[in-house]
Amino acid sequence: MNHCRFKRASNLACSHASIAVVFAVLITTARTMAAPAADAGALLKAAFDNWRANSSQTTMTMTVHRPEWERHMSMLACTRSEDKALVRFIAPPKDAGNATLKLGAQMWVYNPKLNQVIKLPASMIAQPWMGSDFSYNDLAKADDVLTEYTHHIVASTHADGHTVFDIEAIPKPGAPVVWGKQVLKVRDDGVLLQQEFYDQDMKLVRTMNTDKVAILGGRDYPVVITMHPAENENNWTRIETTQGKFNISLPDYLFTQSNLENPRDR
Amino acid sequence: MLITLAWRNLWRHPSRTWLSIASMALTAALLVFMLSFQLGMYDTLRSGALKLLDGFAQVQPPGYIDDPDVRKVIHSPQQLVSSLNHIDGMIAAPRTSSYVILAHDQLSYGALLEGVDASREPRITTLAATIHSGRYLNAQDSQSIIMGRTLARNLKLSVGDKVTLLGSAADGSIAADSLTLIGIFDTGVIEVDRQLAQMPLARFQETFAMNRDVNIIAIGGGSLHAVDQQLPRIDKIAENSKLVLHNWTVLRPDVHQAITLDFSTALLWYAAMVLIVTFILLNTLLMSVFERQREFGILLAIGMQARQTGIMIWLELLLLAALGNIIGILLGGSATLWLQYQGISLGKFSGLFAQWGLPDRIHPQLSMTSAVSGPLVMIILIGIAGLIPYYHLRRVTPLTAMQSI
Amino acid sequence: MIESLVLIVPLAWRNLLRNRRRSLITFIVVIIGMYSILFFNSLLNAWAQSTRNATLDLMTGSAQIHARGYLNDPTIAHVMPFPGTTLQHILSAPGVTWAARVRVPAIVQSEYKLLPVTLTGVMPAQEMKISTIPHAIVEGQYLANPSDNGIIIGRHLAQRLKTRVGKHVIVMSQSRDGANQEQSYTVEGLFAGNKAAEDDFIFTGLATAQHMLNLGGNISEISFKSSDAQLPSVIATLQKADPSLDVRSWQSLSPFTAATDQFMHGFTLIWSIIMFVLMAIGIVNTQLMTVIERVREFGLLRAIGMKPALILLQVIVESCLLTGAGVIAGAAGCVVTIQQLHNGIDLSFLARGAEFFGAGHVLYLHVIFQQVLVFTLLVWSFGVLVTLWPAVKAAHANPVEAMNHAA
Repeated sequence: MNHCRFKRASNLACSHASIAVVFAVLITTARTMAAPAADAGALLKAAFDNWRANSSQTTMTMTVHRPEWERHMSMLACTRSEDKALVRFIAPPKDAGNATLKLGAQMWVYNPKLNQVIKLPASMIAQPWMGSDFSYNDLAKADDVLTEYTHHIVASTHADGHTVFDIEAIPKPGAPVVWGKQVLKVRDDGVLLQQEFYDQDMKLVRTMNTDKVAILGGRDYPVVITMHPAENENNWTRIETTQGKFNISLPDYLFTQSNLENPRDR
Repeated sequence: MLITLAWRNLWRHPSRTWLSIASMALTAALLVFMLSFQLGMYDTLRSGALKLLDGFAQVQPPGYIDDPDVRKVIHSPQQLVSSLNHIDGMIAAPRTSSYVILAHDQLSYGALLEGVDASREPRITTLAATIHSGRYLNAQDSQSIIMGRTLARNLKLSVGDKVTLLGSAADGSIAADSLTLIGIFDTGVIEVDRQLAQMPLARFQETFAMNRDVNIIAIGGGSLHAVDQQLPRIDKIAENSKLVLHNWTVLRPDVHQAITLDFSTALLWYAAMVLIVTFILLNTLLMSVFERQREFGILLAIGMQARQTGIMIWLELLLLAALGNIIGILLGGSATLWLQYQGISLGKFSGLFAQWGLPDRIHPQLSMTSAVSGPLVMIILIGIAGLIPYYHLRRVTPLTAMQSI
Repeated sequence: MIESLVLIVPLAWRNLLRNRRRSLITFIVVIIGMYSILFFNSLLNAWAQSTRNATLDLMTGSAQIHARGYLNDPTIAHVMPFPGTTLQHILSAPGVTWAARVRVPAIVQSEYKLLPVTLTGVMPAQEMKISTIPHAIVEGQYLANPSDNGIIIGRHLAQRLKTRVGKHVIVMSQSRDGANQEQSYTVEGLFAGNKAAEDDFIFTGLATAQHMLNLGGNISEISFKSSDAQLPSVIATLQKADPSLDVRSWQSLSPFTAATDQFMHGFTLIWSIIMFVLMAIGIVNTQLMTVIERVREFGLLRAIGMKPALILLQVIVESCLLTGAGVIAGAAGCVVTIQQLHNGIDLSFLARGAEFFGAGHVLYLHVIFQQVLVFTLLVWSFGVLVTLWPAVKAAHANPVEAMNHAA
């Protein structure tokens, strides 16, 4: 059997941590809390803590760009603590109703046409999420950059009245992560400006940039972020957050498979 | 002049000559058959491996082979497919393919799903023969799917069950469908049985929002050889549509390597065999030449030059070799042709192989190579060894020669 | 009759010595013919065997033991305890080698790719005795012991993952309690095999795999090797010793290999037959030629009053002596050659460009005593028989005609 026939199985870059950012973006709280500049780990944790409000509810549009075509989708996302997330697509009509639920490391997808919840098989976690440059794995392994890496500040610069720290994150020995390192740019008020993923030869694989920081839900928020694979300049996915509410109360049933299948009115 | 003499000489000892010719002819015939059989067998194995799924060649969008993507398509392939089908003896079948999630109850697995033209595909591939429960797709099927045994087992599916698929459509939207499992195949190839599923092409195109586009066009037909011969023509057609043509060595480098290795081993045996039989025949030929010392003595005595005598002997040997081998080629060639037409039954193995869609008969393949290489080596070696009596005779005087018996 | 033999044997012997060149050529032809038949026969058998073993010696072995249900659902759900003393006793019979494995579906992930594989926990020292994979390491090195926490992957898999020795990969699989386990492994070595094996199997230490999958001392599989002759009885004994286990021979585990093997044997048989016929043609040809050359000599013998029967007897005895000596020398030569080649014939030079390595391309020849005997007798009697027809003709020929026959 020609293996090429099966290449689709997993030909997409998989990332452990970039969804840290996607979800971080979903849940950013702009409590400007100056982190101790000397401690990179604490700074990053503070940034993540800031983003991780107890809960969030955001509306986003996602643009998937390819040289031949471009697609726009809209979605509603809810998160609660660090391990529960639900994303439901609301536009275009073709995609409306599709939903993804994350509980811990497990993921389920719902498709309205099939009216069925399907557990994401492990062999599919590297597949693109809704055809974008994010993979399901990005959603599932959001916390890795905090828990599985050691952190060092390698540089700091000043821009727009903020200090921006370059933090190098190196995987802990034996940590179950594939990357060689990550380099993150974090503003002193806990806004992530860039996240780069390097392979074990320290070659850049992909980059996520914050294109625009604006006030959302009363806080500074990276409202436009773009993911670029390094080897393909012409492919990118942009997520723009248009509305956001933070630290609101979200009921338990929201994050269940039955709600995934039969959403109750919110 | 000398050749006439040599020719007449041969028939002065008809029994000896006939014996030499007969043994050489039989040997040559067997060599011709053996190489044809060998080539035929490799062709059977090669075709068998290619016919399981890949076909003998494929037309694909550029770059598809290295990074298959449902979005890399051949637009409106009807024209192309029909022009390929118009090439004599060739069958072209469009296919689509994508990696998807298949789910049943709480279980879900990743699979490679292909959309196939159920009316054409069985004429190109033998997957249908490996169905071990249920049946293969047919032209009327729509919401149907067939899959490998391991995949079905993993999903705890049996024929008749519903299975859902979830994938990424060509337009970036979600592709989702609910299908009925109608057949389970068992190819014996681990990767195929674990990962492959097929559904009707039209339904695939609809589900994956592909309009009438396809990902590849698989090409099959009577024989690999016939398709290989048409490759330049197909290449031109593909090029005109800005597509690329891949022959079987590109599609299946593993099969190519395995057969190359096995074949070079077999060729080694064959070469050794040709050398040995030629050596044995030569021994006998030379023996009978040396038995004729007395005769040479007389020839020298009546004034023939040693050089001429030597050349005459050499010509005799060459004539014998040529005659024997020509008869051998005719004999072996016609027997091989007959067997090529009939096929050699694999006997008790035929049932064994049928379950993997392999043919139950091996057809030897008579070709210029298989017909000529063995006999040619024999003639050349005899031609070289025929110089031995020539050199020997130059040292012989009429007296010693005539005394020797 | 005995008297005639007493008379004839020395005569025949002297005759053979007198026509030294003719005898020598016949002798050489018979030796080469005999030698070639036997040598090719064992070469082709070894070839068929190596083709079969190239597949079996990767993972299958001669037979395997599993918990019932494993073959239908080869996952963590069907495991068995490490073999106890009874099973170990059976498996330690002379000529049997075995190894225990954990073998479960898993997923391996690098920076660039994620691929489904089979995670195999092995006992490296035992595995070396039953599998060619530990000996087919093309880069890095094999596992050191059952607690080795590195990983060995196929060369082709490494290419697909874009990884190499020294880098690490993540392996994910389900533990016995259904939880997803993942662990980082450093790639310690790359093995070469067939492409399917290179893509499918990844190896780590048995204890490492048991620990990762929370298996305790349980295993998935025992693979063992034994001779074809002893296999059925070993399987029967094992099955009897523990009926709760599923013991299967390679034929049942790998029917395609079994079919191919039978096919190869059929093919080898055709080759052997053709080789035999070719050699027979050579020998017959030489014998006939000799007799034809000697028609004149027979005429002379008749002329001096020797009885046709006696002439015939002389020809038979000569042929018996000469063919017999040739056949025995050929067979002996072949047996000696095969014994000299006990380290195997390495065919990998044929595959230099094709990147094939090791497994299955070294041929180990064996002397099959029965075959040697059968072929020896067959060639001998055949060689003698074919001289009869022209000898009979010659013996009864008119002496004058016969003497004029050849110049």
